[in-house]
Amino acid sequence: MTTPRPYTLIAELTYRCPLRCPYCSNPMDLAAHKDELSHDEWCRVFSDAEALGVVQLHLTGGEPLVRGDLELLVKHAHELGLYVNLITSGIPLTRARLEDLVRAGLDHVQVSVQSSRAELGDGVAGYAGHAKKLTVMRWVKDLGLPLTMNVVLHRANLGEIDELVALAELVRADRLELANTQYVSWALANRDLLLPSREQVDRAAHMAALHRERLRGSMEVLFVKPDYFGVTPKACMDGWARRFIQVVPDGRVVPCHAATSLTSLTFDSVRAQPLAHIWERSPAMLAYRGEAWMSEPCRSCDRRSIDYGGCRCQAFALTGDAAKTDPACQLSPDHALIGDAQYRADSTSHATPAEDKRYLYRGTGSARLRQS
Amino acid sequence: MGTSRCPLHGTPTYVTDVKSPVTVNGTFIPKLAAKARLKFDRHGKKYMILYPERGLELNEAAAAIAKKCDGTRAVDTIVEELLLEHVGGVRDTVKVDVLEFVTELSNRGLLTRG
Repeated sequence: MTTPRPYTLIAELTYRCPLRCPYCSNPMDLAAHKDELSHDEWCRVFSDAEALGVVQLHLTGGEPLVRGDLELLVKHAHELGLYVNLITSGIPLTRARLEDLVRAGLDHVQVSVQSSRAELGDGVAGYAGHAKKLTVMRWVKDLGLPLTMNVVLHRANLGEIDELVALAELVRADRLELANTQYVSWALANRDLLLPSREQVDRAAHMAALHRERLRGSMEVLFVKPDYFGVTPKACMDGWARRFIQVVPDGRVVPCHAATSLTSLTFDSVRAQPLAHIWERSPAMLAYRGEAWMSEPCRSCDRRSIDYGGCRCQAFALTGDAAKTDPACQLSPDHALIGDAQYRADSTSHATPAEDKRYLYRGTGSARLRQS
Repeated sequence: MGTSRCPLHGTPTYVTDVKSPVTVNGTFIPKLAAKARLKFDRHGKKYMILYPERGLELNEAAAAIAKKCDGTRAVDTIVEELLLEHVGGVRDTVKVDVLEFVTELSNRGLLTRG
């Protein structure tokens, strides 16, 4: 098999973050991930990725702004000709620092918002940051940068589509990304409190579609359905190690946000081997690349080159075997695992956790902020 | 413009069957949107338009038009310049191509009125 060209590098610069969202895709054992790549190591990763064909760079985390060298990283990436996207909570940002980032060559900013209402947003994030996020989004537009407002959707905020679109229009967002929670890592631990009912999802999807038509040409409205409600799995990352490379804070190379949860694989680090070597030859990248690893029902399925068997992390989290068909697929012998969780969600009426139930939050120990 | 695809996601990115809210005619002055960047891709040896989380690979004809969408030229001017640069072109055909390109990219939010 010829090695595919990666187009996007997702650089998880740090796992440090002031927020504690209960659906965070970062690993659950954060304390075990302290050894972040240095500035020079990240610069080498960017250069090596560009040489492999990467044109898009997502700077994310954790909260990438806690890195004191972010401006210099942006500058290096810009000089390589990469389209540089900062994915941030906005919390640690100052206007002066954003101006520095623009001067360094930042192309686009994506700000996460947890709700249209401060009360719910701050409750979900475990941090009073909603008001600051609105300010940051205004700075982004005032400085002439394109803005994506991103909202992770779940049971408690899925009824807010109109209000979220109105907020995005108010802050003049160029894109609004309404993405339903993917149930891996922290989100899987909190699944029963987050998973919406089918009716909620259908209504939200319908409303998002109406806004998408109304705003076509001025704002892009994306709605990502939760795969629990479909009959086919999502084409996770457009295929394993196919178009996306992700590097986690300690330098390991993974194919997606959640892959470090796959304890059955060992991910090689850019500290030990060149990125190109890892992308082309490391056992973890080859493990589920292409179609040779598939068993039935994927192996003979017409959709195998469309959805690539779905999400490996979801298969592993739910069945213990990453090589199985994603249980989100109706053809999966494990599909009942999805149906059971869905049944519980459909028969639960409350939107936010009941009195005796609370979201499981990630700890605060790793949430030190950069002094700025 | 049927050969333009999103190489980041592998799917055709032009949506042609939606009603178009942007009216484009010969006096429309197209300009690349703030979120979009035209870049020559040294790997594929083609021009690309990069924008948030996506990329559009341009064929030669599309790239020639895109390079002129800088907010200084109206569609009619772009057509005349292309006719001068590509001897043998037919004005009506070139104008249809330019209008189609500008309309579709405007509806994707990649071009704005200059």
